[in-house]
Amino acid sequence: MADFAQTAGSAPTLAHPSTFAPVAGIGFPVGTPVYTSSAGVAGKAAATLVGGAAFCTGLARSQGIVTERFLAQYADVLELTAAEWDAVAGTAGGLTPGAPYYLSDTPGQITGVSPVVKAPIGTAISATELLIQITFPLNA
Amino acid sequence: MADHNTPAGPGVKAHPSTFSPVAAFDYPVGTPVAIDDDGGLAGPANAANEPTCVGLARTRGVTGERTITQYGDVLQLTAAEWNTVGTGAGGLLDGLAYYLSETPGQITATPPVTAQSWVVPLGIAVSNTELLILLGIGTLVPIG
Repeated sequence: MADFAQTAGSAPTLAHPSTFAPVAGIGFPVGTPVYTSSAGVAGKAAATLVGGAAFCTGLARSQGIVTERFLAQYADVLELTAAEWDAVAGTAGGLTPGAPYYLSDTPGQITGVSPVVKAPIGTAISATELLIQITFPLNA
Repeated sequence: MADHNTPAGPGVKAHPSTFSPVAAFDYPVGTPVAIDDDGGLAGPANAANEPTCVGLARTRGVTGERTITQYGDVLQLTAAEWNTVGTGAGGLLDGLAYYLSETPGQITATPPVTAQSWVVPLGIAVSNTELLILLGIGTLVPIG
């Protein structure tokens, strides 16, 4: 069971009301969309109908380190640096304000252009802030 | 950058599920709000143009000033205030789902059916004055 609202290990990472703290099954950077695998650990979510990876449970608020807990944020506004968003959104200069973002075909990435499996993640309210609006994949 | 939870004026209480973008236009409370892709300013959302709404105005939008925009939880307004954004004179209808309208800044219980418009969920009425905000990213109405 996920350990809700716990901080992600010994590092002084601030918890957030709309977070939980699963164990990472793989390493990933902040901003990564994650899902819960059948093994009960968090992996990189992706727009695929295989293995439940399109059922995103949040975005990494702290870095994912294998076997350690991290913070996954599932609602409200997630603010990262433009460079951090660029790393997971394939953007340059951060997010596009007003644009919707979806899970990408590439595991652990988000995209402004929905792939065939349409899994909404949120709407950018600035270059550095995403209003998280995760829903089930629309065509799963 | 949005200024989270900064009240839009003296005596206006912020709410946990809010942020405070700068308004590009004047608009009333209850208005569904979108963010433009240029300056990141807030304005009335429109299902004919965009698949997203980032919240409903908790305070009145005044051009050039910050306005509190609510993206979760229950938004309570008067029936008259809801009427201003498209519900009809009695306010919201209990139990109905509301969507972004093709009329800018309006909400509707009848989702758009015009090809190439967007069906954008906003929330469900829990009384004639309260909307449980459940924002979703829109789906495109197909051609034909």
